[in-house]
Amino acid sequence: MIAGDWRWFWPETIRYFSLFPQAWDSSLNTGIGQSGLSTLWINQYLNLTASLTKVGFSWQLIALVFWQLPPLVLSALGAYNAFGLLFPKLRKWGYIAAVVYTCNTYFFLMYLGGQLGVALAYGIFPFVIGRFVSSLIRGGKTKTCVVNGFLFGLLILFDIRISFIAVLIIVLGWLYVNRNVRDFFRSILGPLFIAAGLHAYWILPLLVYRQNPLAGAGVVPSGDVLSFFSFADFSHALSLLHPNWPENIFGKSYFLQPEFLLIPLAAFFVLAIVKEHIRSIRFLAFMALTGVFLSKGVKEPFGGLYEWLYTTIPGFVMFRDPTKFYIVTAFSYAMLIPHAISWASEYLHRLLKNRHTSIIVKLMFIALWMIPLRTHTRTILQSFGGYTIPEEYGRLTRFLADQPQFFRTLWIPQWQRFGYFSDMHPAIGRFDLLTDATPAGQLKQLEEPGMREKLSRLGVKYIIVPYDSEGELFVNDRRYDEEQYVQTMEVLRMKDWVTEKGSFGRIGVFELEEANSRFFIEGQKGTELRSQRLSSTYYTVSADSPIQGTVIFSEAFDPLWVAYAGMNEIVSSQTPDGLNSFVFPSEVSELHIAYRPQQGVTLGLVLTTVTLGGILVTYVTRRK
Amino acid sequence: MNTKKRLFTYGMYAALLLYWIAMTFLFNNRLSFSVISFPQSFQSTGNVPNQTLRRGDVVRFEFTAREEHLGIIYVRFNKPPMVGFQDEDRIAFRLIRKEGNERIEEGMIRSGLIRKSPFIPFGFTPIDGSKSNVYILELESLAGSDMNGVSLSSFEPRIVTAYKFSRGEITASPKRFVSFMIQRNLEYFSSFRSMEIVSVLLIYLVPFVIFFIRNMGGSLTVSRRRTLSAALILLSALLYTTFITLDEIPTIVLLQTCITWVFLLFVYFLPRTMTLLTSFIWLMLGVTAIALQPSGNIFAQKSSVWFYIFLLIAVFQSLYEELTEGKKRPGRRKGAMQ
Repeated sequence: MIAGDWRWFWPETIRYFSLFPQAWDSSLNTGIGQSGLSTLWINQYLNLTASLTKVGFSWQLIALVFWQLPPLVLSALGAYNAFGLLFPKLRKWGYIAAVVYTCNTYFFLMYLGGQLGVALAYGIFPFVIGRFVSSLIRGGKTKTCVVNGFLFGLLILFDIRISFIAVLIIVLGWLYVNRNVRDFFRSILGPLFIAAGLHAYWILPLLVYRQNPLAGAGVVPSGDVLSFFSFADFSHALSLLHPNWPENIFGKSYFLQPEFLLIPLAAFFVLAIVKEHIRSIRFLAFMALTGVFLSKGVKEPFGGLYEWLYTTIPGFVMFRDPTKFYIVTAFSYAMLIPHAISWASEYLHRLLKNRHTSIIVKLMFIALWMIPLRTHTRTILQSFGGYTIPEEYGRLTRFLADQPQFFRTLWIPQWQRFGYFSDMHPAIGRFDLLTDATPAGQLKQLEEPGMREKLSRLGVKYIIVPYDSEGELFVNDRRYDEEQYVQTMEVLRMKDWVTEKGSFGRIGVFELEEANSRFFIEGQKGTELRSQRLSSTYYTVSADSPIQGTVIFSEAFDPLWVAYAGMNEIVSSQTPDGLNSFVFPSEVSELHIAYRPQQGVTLGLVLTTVTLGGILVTYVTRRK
Repeated sequence: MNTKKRLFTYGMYAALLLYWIAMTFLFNNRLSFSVISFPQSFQSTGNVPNQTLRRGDVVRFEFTAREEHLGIIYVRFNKPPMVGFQDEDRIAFRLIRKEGNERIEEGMIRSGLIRKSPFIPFGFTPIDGSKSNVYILELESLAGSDMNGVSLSSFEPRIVTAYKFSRGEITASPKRFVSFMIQRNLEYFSSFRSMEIVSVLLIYLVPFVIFFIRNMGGSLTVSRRRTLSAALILLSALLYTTFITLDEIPTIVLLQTCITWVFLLFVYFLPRTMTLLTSFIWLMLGVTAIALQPSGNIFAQKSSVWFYIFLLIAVFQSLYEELTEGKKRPGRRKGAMQ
């Protein structure tokens, strides 16, 4: 699969992935470095799975087994399982629930858009809801509590926002079915506590160092942002129709298609016909309506309510994209629609007196359900096939990765999805340095006063103009524009401070005259600093002669970077261009630079290990 | 009927009538009470409707102010394409008095704002002595392209001018107040077709009529009163949804319909299936509208809102029935969901 947010990694990149969680992200999400705590949960899953390349598995195979297949399998199994738990007598209709939950426009677009972390959370979600609500109804024993905690831990691992939604639903469920304080502690708080223990490795440093997990994501609580992201209206939200369906172009909403409006009819029809399980059905209908209302964000009517929730309720700020609430609607519809199909089957059975009615109705429903989704279903199936990576990207990777010293690459207009990067050679190209949206604008920014010096201080050795094999970088009105590529190449060729390197096909590689190392002394070109990278959060720096002056550490400034020299502990100060600097009171010959929150990560990891051990012991030894 | 009850009934009649007058004649558009607006005839240069404004394109509207205190000029645009904040076009606007070429006001808006509400108000400090003067509204695209450019709508009225009067001027005398109100409403209703006028006049009268039907006494059976009231609510909502050319149903109309329907539930014990059926009818109307014509999308969007509202009432009605049923049967096990 090569689409949207999904990433391709070269073995040379994965070589730098750490099995041990790292609090600093040097290259995965930005070329200049940022705190990794806010994405450590999903990054750790990525690191662990990607590390299998070290024992000979290809990234394609790892992606297929650990990322692409699980969302599809888990969401189908999860919906089937949850339906069986909530409606044991109708278990045989769980297949319908699986089809509705797995095959809908929201899931398809999320999956094909490469948001596989969210898709995995989507797959775990029905397991979590089904098991928690079931334990509230039937009472949970210790083993149930532990298993639920583990499941919830998995949900958090893949997406914290979906976990937040799950907690809201579980608490609402408790208010509706139970309201027993003891059950609240045993069936809700207990498992949540276990899940928190599993995630201590990133929760603990966040708490200790008071880091805002949303700061890195650029989330700003404002109404304008919400208006921008509120793509769906009532009709789309009710129809479980993603507003970007079918083309999945971000921000481009499409007209409603009438066939989708029949979906809520099938879902809510159950309220008029079913007498059994009516309490569960009422709750699910209420959940579905809540999901629909929240999915439309600040769109009228009553859009102000969402804005109020967004700015008032702690944690709601994660939902600047309200379509995340489609998951609630999808789950509710998946639980409701089988009732209507079952009723229709019984009705037809009475009418036709045919024993095959149930099978015929199921098949007819699945066929009708899949007709509007057929094209995307084919695309998903095709995504399991192989894909060709342009040969020049392989050559570029070898050329860059073979150079042992640290340097950065700057990609204009953006880093390309097959482009090489690693902690030793980070790629700048996600608007982290040149912020203009167009290549022409970025080329102008390159000529701004001080920019060349800034590139040198950041250690940028090569400017790269990518071969846009997927047609997503040089675009005009969402279509590939060859002219932009040609002009970018021509402008760079005219610059006398860069030299073009050949033999990379359509990839333009331009070498800069001068690039600093990751560590250098301010204003002193003669003194050579030797640095050793032990991890992305720990470096040692030394020099032949005593170090005098200000040492610059060429990563984005963070006040939690600390330098240790002998007995001295120096906290990082920010340079005018946003890097870290350390000023020493006396001459030093060796430095140790560390990112402080890593200590919290290490301590948290001990807690995580203890919790995991506890879960295993409980699972093996406890009968119930 | 005792005196207290009679007073309450008459008080309710008066309140509901006042509500109708206020909503229909005083707060009948989105402008402030003291603002009077007119569809404006004008001469334009520089652009034709539906043609995208590109960087540097300038459009000029020349018009004669019809009243004193010109304060807002509305221009109707088409919805521009959705782009990121940094890619939005910026539209500079300038208001110029033709005589003496005097620049009175200038400012800038972003195309994202036009996407939110295509009928854009360009507001400024009300101009005293504006009546009969000729003004030019100049719009210039600062960063427009095919990707992000805005275009002017071809739907009339394309330009509306609004004039803000002070409270003192309006209430100087009862005669002045009445004439102001008549003028304001004549202008408001003059742009409507007859079915629009019926819809606007009817929608806020519904609570009054329903209360009237409730108190009709023995001339109608309870069942007929119930049917009549429900039909009236649905008919008025349908007329309003069909004929009023707004993209969204005003919140007040939704709230009013909710409240009157809930009133029917309590007064006539309207069954849940009736509310459900109503919501399904709305849904089917939406499906039919899109299936019959592509422009039915707006109707479908509005009918989805009604579907949602009635469904919500049905679900709450169902929960309420469960709660009251629980009270009737205290021995019922709490927490039994199956």
